[in-house]
Amino acid sequence: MKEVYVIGAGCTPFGDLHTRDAVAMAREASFQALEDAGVDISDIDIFYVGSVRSVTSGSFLGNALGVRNKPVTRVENFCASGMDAVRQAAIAVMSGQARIALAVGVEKLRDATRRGLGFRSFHPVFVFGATPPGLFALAANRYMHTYGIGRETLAKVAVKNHRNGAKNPLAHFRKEITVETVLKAPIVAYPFGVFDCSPVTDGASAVVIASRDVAEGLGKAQVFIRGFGLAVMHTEPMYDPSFKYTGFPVTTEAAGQAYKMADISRPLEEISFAEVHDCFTMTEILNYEDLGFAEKGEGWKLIEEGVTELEGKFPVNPSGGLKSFGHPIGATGARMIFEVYSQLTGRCGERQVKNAHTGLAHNIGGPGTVSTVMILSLRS
Amino acid sequence: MRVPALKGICLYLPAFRIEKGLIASQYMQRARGTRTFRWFDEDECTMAIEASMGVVEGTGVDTIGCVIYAAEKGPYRRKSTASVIADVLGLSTDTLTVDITGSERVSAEGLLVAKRICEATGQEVLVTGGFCEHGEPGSDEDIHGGDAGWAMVVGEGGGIVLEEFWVARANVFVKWERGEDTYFLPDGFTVPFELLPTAAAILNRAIEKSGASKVVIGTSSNRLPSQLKRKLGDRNITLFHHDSTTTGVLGSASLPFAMADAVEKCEPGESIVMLAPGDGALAITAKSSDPDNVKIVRINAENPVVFDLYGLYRKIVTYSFEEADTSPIAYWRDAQRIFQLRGGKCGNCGKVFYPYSDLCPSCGFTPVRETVPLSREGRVFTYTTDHITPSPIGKVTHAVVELEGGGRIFVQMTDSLEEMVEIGAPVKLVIRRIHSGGGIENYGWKARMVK
Ligand SMILES: [Zn+2]
Repeated sequence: MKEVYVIGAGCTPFGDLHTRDAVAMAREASFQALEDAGVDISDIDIFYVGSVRSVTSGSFLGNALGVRNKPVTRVENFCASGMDAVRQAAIAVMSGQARIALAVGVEKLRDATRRGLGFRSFHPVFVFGATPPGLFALAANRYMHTYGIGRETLAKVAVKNHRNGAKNPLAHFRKEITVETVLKAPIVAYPFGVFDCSPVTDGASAVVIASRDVAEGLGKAQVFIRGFGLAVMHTEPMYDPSFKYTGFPVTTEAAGQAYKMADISRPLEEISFAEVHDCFTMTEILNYEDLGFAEKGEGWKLIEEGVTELEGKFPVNPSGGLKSFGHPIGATGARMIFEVYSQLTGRCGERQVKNAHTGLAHNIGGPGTVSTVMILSLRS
Repeated sequence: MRVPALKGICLYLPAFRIEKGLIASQYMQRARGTRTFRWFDEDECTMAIEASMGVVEGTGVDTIGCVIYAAEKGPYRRKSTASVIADVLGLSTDTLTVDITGSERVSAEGLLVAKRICEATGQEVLVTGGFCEHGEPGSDEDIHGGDAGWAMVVGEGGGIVLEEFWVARANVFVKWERGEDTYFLPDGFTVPFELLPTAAAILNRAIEKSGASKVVIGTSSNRLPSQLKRKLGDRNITLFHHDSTTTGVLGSASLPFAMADAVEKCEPGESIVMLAPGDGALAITAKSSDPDNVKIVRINAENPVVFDLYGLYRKIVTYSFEEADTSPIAYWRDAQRIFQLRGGKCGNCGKVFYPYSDLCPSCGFTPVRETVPLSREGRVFTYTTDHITPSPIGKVTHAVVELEGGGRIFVQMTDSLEEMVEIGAPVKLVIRRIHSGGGIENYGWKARMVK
């Protein structure tokens, strides 16, 4: 398989971007990425835009970037949309169809005034009224019941990610919090309080991917895409009578694909750090197990023992994660690649992971419906 | 000659009560006792369904050939409610469904039609109804009304044989409501005097003919029975009516509630007259052959939750699901999957799942051909109490329920103000309005805690 490189990445600040619409955000992130890569918009052969609800079609990039007469595809895969866009761009370059590709993820959520994302009904009555926090809370309650952990353990995930995010100039919430703050916050969907949930955020992030030849020509052949995977299952896992609610098999499947491609068998030793999908505190703990960082039922020990702290043996979400960086749904996956690329190229200042050579990024979308994993490494 | 008789009665009350005095005091009035009120996801149809499922529980629905919905009104002005009920019970599409609406005597009319159908066809008939009354804030209906559902099965081999009937028709505006009225408005024009002589006349005739010693009056009023008693002279008659002290006035549902009390005190060979007032009055005589052979089921008669907040009570009974959107076409397309509690059974992995799909959600096998009936009883596998899901109480508990005998269902919990359920807690499935989007009542399954 052809080696492909991340040669540039860009990201808007995440937060309440009331002065910018989706077009402006996508433009800002994309041109930042192009500048970082040292290429012109006219050099891009193919475009992918990931978004869950802010973009209707590929022509969006006609507006945002002035793209004319080139292939643009809108990618939608729940919370994995942004990383799937990056994955599509990588595949396009690997196939030889494109020499340079741009993937941008964007989401405009803060134009709405209501709390959270509300709920969307896919059917007149089935699963009616279920919300994202509620669906993940089903797993949280089952896990807590099965393995006997309390809300305090979940809270430590939020505390860690806020501590990291406070060091991140682009993060939505740059403020450290305490376990007590998390536990005392109003309940959103039990056991999740406000601080167990990632925020509703605006933002965009973009990644430029190039073939080895192009990357070497630009002197940018530093960080290559070592492996990726994507797995999708039934949209409503709660219809599956064998679904255990103590983990998400799609993550294990997507990670398995990526590890195989990257030739990784001991992730905790072979990977330096990870950006995982902490849409809710519980999700991060489930991710530890599903990604193979811990045995089933023991992921919570990593947070209790400080293993995944920025200074720990295996930092997870040095960016602040969805929890503190923010979660503009379709942008998040691209933002993770932006973070992993920034870490591997040593640009992360206060939140820099020391001696990072390999980073993993992971999304889970829907309540266990879809997952993407991507692994980037420094060229040795 | 077929002998139609009463085989079962089920009486359903919502789980909630409120002190009438609390409502009255908001409007400088006094009242005593409590009234029942429907939960925000209940209506006349769902309460009739609760009672219908209760009356057939254990005996099944295979023998039922007709469903009659008999109530002052139903959820729709122009759509069959009996058909919804028949669908939920899983009755075949050639089952006769009849809706009867009108005055307070409508439950007796339903019983009479049931008797006729049974005589003509030999089929068992399920007669059911629901009653909700709230009126505008501070009205008599707000303070003294009540909500309930009921169901009776009429068929051969029952314990109380339905015999003759007498009717005295009068076009009387005692209680009325036009289609366009938001609330029941009984302003000014009532004719309470017509009723008494009319009812007394046919009641006397029915008693003479049947030799009845018990009279069941289909009313929740205490005044009417005592007035009638005076008109009956020195006959040795025991009068039964529905006492509204704890439930509120139950309209046409009063008759089945009073009838259940009478049946429980009835000796073999005794005769009963049922008298239902409303646009005149209707009397039906019945002879007890084997009163123990009438199954009587009461749901939520004990341990109600008593509200102490008037504002919250009003919010619940007037709640409309504004944010919901749906399509009547999509609802119609899925009606069988929605109503009938049947799961798919995978031909490959053997798992039972709900809702039915021809592709197994567990192993992906297709086509799944077999469906199996699911139990209404189950236990919570996992849950969450979600404060974002719209509801008048500010939260909704969602639960994954493992059903007895296999299968899982993902439902909202209902009938509770409480935050929490527990994993492993026993629950029972019920039909409720999931929401009213798309201009229709989107009925579906929910679950309530088993106390
Ligand atoms: Zn199967």
